[in-house]
Amino acid sequence: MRKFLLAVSLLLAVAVPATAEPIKYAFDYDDSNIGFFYVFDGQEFEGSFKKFTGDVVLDFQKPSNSSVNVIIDSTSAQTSVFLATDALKSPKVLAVRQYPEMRFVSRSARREGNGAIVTGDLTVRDVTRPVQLDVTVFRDQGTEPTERDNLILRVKTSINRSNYHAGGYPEMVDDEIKIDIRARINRIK
Amino acid sequence: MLRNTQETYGLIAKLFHWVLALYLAALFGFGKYIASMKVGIENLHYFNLHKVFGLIALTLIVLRLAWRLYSPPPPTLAGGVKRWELHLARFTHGMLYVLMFAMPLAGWIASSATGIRISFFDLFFLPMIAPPSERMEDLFFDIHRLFGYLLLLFVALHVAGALKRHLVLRDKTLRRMWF
Repeated sequence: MRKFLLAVSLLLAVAVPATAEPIKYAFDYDDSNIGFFYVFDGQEFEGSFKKFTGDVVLDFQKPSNSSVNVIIDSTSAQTSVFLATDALKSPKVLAVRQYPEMRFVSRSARREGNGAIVTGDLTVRDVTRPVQLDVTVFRDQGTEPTERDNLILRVKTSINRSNYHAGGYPEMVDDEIKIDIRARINRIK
Repeated sequence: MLRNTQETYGLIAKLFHWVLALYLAALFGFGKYIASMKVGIENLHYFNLHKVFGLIALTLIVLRLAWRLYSPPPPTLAGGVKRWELHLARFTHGMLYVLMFAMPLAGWIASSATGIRISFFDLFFLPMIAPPSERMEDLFFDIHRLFGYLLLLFVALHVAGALKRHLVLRDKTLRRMWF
């Protein structure tokens, strides 16, 4: 099913009844993944954070009213090898004992092509810096174009980990970390 | 003869001596190598391997000390040896035991402080004996390195003493440690 997502153009918002208001969503944690990619020795590897909480508000009429807040459990970081997982959680990178949470708070959102650009503050290791997220909203195949109750967000960005004092093992792992989030959201009735 | 006697070392003490001598020399070389190698996907596991071998060394050293207590070594041969030489030899032996124990222990503490676990041949993880801390990691890796060089120094003194007894004094100190 996931393979057959169709983009919901935010431009389609006109199809929504004029009475539409900002819609509040809850994450479906079982069907969401906060993924990231890191380059070790010139080769790309994948990891993810298994636990997070947050909420989303989407306004299809006026995207600037949309918002997203997320708190990620740093201790839930996982990669395919224990050495990388442990190094990621270690004092030299995320220092999860000292900083068990990472946060994202959106500041603004605007429509861009088939999706949106969301800017906000990302806090890692108590260091807060602005980031820009490329967000695309999808609905499942077979649903009506006006479907708004059950959607999927695809969020992409990249950060330089050294900006967050998380630059440990620089001789092995590149500074740039790509982030790729796929989150299913359900309208709060 | 497994146990030490008044005259000579037993087989167990001899094996501990020579096996550990070779084993620690190899581990020292391996440690120097991984400290200077360019880390990549192919050799990343060498760090883990060095730690596993180091903890095996620590286990052997504890067993060796236990055996030494259980079966004390023959008395030192004193003929033709100056007092200060005897003192130096005793001090050197003491330092060899202290450093053989403390060097891997410092490595284990430093390794634990990195927060990266040690996998024992993919069977289980070895216990962490220090909390994650960059300061402790740096401090104990420095101590680990320093103890390594000190160990090398005392091994050199130990070998020099043994060779002097064998080649100059021509006593049986070295021969009673051989097979």
